[in-house]
Amino acid sequence: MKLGERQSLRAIYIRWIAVAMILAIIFALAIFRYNREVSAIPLEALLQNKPDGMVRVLGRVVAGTLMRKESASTFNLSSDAKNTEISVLYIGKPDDNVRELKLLVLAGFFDPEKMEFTAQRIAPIPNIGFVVAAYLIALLPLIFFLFNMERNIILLSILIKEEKAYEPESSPNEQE
Amino acid sequence: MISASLRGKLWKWSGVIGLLSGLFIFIGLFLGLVVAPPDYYQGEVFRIMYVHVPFAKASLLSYITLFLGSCFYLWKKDFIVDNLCHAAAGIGVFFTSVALITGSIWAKPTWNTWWTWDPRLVSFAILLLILIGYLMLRTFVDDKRKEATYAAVLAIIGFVDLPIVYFSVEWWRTLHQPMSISTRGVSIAPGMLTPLIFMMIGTSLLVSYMLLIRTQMLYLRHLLEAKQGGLLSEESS
Repeated sequence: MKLGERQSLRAIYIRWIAVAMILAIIFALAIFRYNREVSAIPLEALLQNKPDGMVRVLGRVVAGTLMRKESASTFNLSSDAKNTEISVLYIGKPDDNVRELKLLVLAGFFDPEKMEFTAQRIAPIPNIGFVVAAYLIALLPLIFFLFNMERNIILLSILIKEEKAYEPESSPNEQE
Repeated sequence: MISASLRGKLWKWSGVIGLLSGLFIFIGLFLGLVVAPPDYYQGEVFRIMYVHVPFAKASLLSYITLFLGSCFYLWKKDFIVDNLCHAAAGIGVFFTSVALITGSIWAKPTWNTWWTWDPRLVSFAILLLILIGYLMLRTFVDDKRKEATYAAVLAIIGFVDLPIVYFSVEWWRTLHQPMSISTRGVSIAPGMLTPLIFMMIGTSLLVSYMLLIRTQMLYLRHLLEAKQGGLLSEESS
């Protein structure tokens, strides 16, 4: 393989490493945003760690406990995994998602002494696994597909040059 | 016939198209994954839209190229155009498969099922089968001219499925949502729409780029085969 051909192949590898790095940075930023704004802790972790400050907790509204009042709603929140329950005072805007048996993410403050969670808003369910799966299935094969095609063009060009497909018949003078 | 100079120019421009495509897709991914707010009902899962919708549109774009190329091939019998059709079918299979799989992943948390016999889904799956059939047909025929002609006829017949795919959500009451961007207006919040536009433009450019380099790849492969087999003629060079 000649120097120019090696450089062409190297250029492809460098280009695709750069593409992979840019994608990795975008995904790292997406994970950072997810951890900061979306991810929620389970009820057991809330009771065990008793965190100070704003926290997002995931749980299901217990059937028969939802009481709607003018300015607030009260209900019990349970964990699907273990039989754990806490009482919740929801003081945020009236929300259609606050329904019995509904899986919710509540953002608010936990009072461990009263075992009461004061929720200020409903946060989206952190179903990021589906998103990660979809993006991996879409982008990884795309990168391999493109990389393979570009690499094939270089390799085929090299083979064709070796076969002298493009070169005109050289005259006896040129050969000398 | 497509002239050699036009071919050369197109392949020269493929780098610029590829670069632009990458730029739009990177910006679209950044806006879609990092900046766009989560959906009120769907939460994070709506972000699948930024790969599912552009990839589905890319598959339709590939098939339109295949259809137009096949018509042009039957008219002019240009083997470069046949290579373009062959390339469009391969690219179409890729985008159609990914659009179906990502759609299925999106369906699970929103419809509570991986698959349903919905007109949009079924017509799209048929599109994939047509494309696979097209590629299979090309492997069955030894004579290159016959192979190209039969494949072009199949691609033209298969085009019937395309309007069904596109308008299925309008013609029937389906589980699949209707078009979000249509003549009736836009039903997506601006913060969610901008990344989608970037991804759509980026993916359309990506299809063009892929068509150019895959056509080039197939052309070089045929050239090499012809040279190795001592079949190189003026037409193929």
